[in-house]
Amino acid sequence: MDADSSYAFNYAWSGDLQPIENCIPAALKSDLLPSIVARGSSAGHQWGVGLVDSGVAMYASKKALTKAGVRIPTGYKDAWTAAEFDDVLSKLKSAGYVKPLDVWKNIGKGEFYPYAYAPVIWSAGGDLIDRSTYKTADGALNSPAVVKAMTEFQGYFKNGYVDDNTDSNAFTAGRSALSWVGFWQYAAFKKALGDDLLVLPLPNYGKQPAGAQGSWQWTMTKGVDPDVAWKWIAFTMQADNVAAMAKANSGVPALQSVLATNDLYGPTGGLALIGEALAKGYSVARPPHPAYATISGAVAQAFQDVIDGKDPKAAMDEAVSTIDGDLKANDFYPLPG
Amino acid sequence: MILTPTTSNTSVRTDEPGRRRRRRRPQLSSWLFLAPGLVFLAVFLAVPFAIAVRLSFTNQRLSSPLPRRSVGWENYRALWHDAAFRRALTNNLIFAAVVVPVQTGLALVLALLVNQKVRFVRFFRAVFFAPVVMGIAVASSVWFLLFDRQNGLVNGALDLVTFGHVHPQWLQSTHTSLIAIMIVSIWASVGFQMVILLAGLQDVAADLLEAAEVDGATPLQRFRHVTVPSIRNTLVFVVTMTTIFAFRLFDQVYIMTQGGPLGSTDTVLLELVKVGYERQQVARACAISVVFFLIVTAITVVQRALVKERT
Amino acid sequence: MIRSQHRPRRRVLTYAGLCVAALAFLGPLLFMIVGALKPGNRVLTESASWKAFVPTSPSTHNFQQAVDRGSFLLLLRNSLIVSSITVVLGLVVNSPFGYALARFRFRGRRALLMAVIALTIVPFQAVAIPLLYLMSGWGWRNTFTALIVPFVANPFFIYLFYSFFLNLPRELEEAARIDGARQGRIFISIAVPLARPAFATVGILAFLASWGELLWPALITDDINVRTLPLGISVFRSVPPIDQGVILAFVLLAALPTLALFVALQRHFIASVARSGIKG
Repeated sequence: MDADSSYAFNYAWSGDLQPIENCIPAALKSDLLPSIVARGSSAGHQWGVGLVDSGVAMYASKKALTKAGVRIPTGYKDAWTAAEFDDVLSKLKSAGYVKPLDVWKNIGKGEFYPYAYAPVIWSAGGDLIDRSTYKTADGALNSPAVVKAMTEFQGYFKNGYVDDNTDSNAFTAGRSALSWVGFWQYAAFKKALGDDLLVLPLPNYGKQPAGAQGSWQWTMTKGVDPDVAWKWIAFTMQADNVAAMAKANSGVPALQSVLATNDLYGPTGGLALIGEALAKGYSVARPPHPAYATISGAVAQAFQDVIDGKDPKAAMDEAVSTIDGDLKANDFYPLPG
Repeated sequence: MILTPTTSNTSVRTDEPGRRRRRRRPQLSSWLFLAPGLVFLAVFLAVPFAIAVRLSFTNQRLSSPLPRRSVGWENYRALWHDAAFRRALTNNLIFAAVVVPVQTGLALVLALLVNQKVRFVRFFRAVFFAPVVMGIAVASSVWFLLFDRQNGLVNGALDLVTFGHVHPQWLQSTHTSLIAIMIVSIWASVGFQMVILLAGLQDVAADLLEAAEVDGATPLQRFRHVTVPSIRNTLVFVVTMTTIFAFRLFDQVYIMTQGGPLGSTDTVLLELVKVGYERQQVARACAISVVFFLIVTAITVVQRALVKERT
Repeated sequence: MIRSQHRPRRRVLTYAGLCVAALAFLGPLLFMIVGALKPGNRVLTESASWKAFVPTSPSTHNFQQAVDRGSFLLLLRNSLIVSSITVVLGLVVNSPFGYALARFRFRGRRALLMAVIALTIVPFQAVAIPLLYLMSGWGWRNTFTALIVPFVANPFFIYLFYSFFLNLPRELEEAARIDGARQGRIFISIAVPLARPAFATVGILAFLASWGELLWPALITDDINVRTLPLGISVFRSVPPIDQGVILAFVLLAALPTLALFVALQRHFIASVARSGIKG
């Protein structure tokens, strides 16, 4: 069963899935990226395994940044701070970029917002839910640090820095000098900008810069013979298959052995930054929890509302109340059995 | 819909000899005729509605290993206090208050125009009806681009007419988003009402109109005193149908705004999908279903009262 | 015919009104067609002026993309399957029901008629969530069955058939009955052919409703292999890379089948819709 990883844990909790860890050969297990294991695990079991992982980045035009005279980060360790990023935007605007930033607003809130923008929350030291108890989002999603980061984020829109990008061409047409989006745009950007393209980390909103991760994964429904599943997973997770899949959708290969030789995410590749984020733990998995569908919807709504001008504190509090209401209505999702 | 049971001429000729002998036959075969429909109506309409009522008093989720328990009126109470739901309902009311008169009026104007005996009139009829055939999803996708605040055709035209003085943000602003949705809705469905009104107009007795003209009535007087009373029931039908459609508003907002910005285009059915599907809170969504049903029923009851009044 | 001394003036006014209204309806349609032929990055940049209606460097690239990347043909197939089965089953199920109500005398007939009329009030949307709940339990998510069955029996269509048969002279049927034909035979070989207009009306109304349905597929499917066109449009619009030219080509292709059908059967479409309103 090929499940959107956002909903996999609700299926697991509802008893529709069986754990997968015993079906994974030991050699394969040790080769998996930590992010793949993290993304597929909940309540002490691994429920899913993906062929590819993903990531989000701040794509930039080197010429534009040079023209504006701003510092260019070299990797996660020296990412722009939030204050520095404001300065970058204002200098780019002075340098002639009327709408210097593109955040792909046009994709719409769906799963893109929690996927691509949640790093703002993680970077500020917050989270979508309190992962020590999984009983509330209060204090994690609406902490003062998160609200501050969301206020920063809102500022980009209030100050008119953000292009509507209705035509998806803000960055490639040169209207914007920065584009905040997932790995899937790399090929198109590289084609349009060539050597001028930079792949940078998202800004640091306080604690440490953060990235995103997660993709579709294999899960095993109840009633499937584990032996058959074992063979299937062992087959699809062969290095060749993972490499082929990664090439086909330009995702990050799930195996460290494949990643090392991947010409996109490997140390010298164009998206090495995303590879680095996944391998070194800058990327944060969206919470592996049966309530994720609700969490995702609430967080997407909060980002949409903040973009549309709602008070960030009120927006985050509302998301917390939606999530906590769901947790409570489900008796905090007790472990099955 | 205007449905009045008509029982006239159903019981003719029961005393016919050939009929009486086979009296048992129709009894059995009539149920054979009815059976497929009864099964479908029961399983996919009547029973689900009963389940909606039943589940609205529980905490049922779409998929959950937890046992279902009864929560009394809690879901309804929560809805009453839910700011998002109230906003959605208010939006539906505002939408109905504007769209029902405007759309009915426009439909009537169009129907009067295409009821004239002039050349190419069938072509115009087809043009006005085309958006109905295309479907709301297509219309919404096109208008989404027309309403683009930076480059859209709508603002381009406004710039031209107002010399750049009027430049609404349309879908990006809480002040104008619902107006944009109204415009799309009217554009996409006014043809439907037009055709129904046209059928009503064509039934207006020509000799009545002629008599009025001979008596020296102006066109406006003829319209007011002959045409409108003749199509009264059709007008009531159109108004009711448009009102119900206003409360069913979903496709346009689902495609163009997802209810935003800041809930300014949220609707009852959008909330239904958000709550019942995205958040999987089936019980609460069932409460929304029941409220929705009551609203639609109330509109229908009012309409039937209006129709009965004079017929 | 109404004679009026203002006839020429009135005719000019009529044409003026018709033309202004036609502009408002044709403008967006023309924008869609022209945009579908343009490179995607020009659709919006050229849309605020007269250029919106000029196909600059036209090509069929967008249509190719809509088919390749948007899986248009798969979605079209799904829509055709769902709508055609819904329409056919709807005619098969609703027409004998209406016929029985109009022609047969059986115990409970009047109560049943009242029940059908009462059920016309229940909007489908009010049962969508309980149906979602039931069908998820039955494992019907992402099946054509789930997309079809809720729209087969329709109290309003039953009522349309009922009132049509009620007003149909029954002499032919009576003659056949005296000849000893069975009820089923009489219905199929005599009543159905006479009721062609009613079948056309219900068929067209059912087709329009089924073809445009968005809410139910959005609830019950998340698999492209059963996804129908309206939901397909909604999903495709938000899948990156977003190209406005391809999106317009996609929606134009989605609109073409029904528009073509409408052009071919214009009179029937308009008559059907008209008939849906004048009852009562």
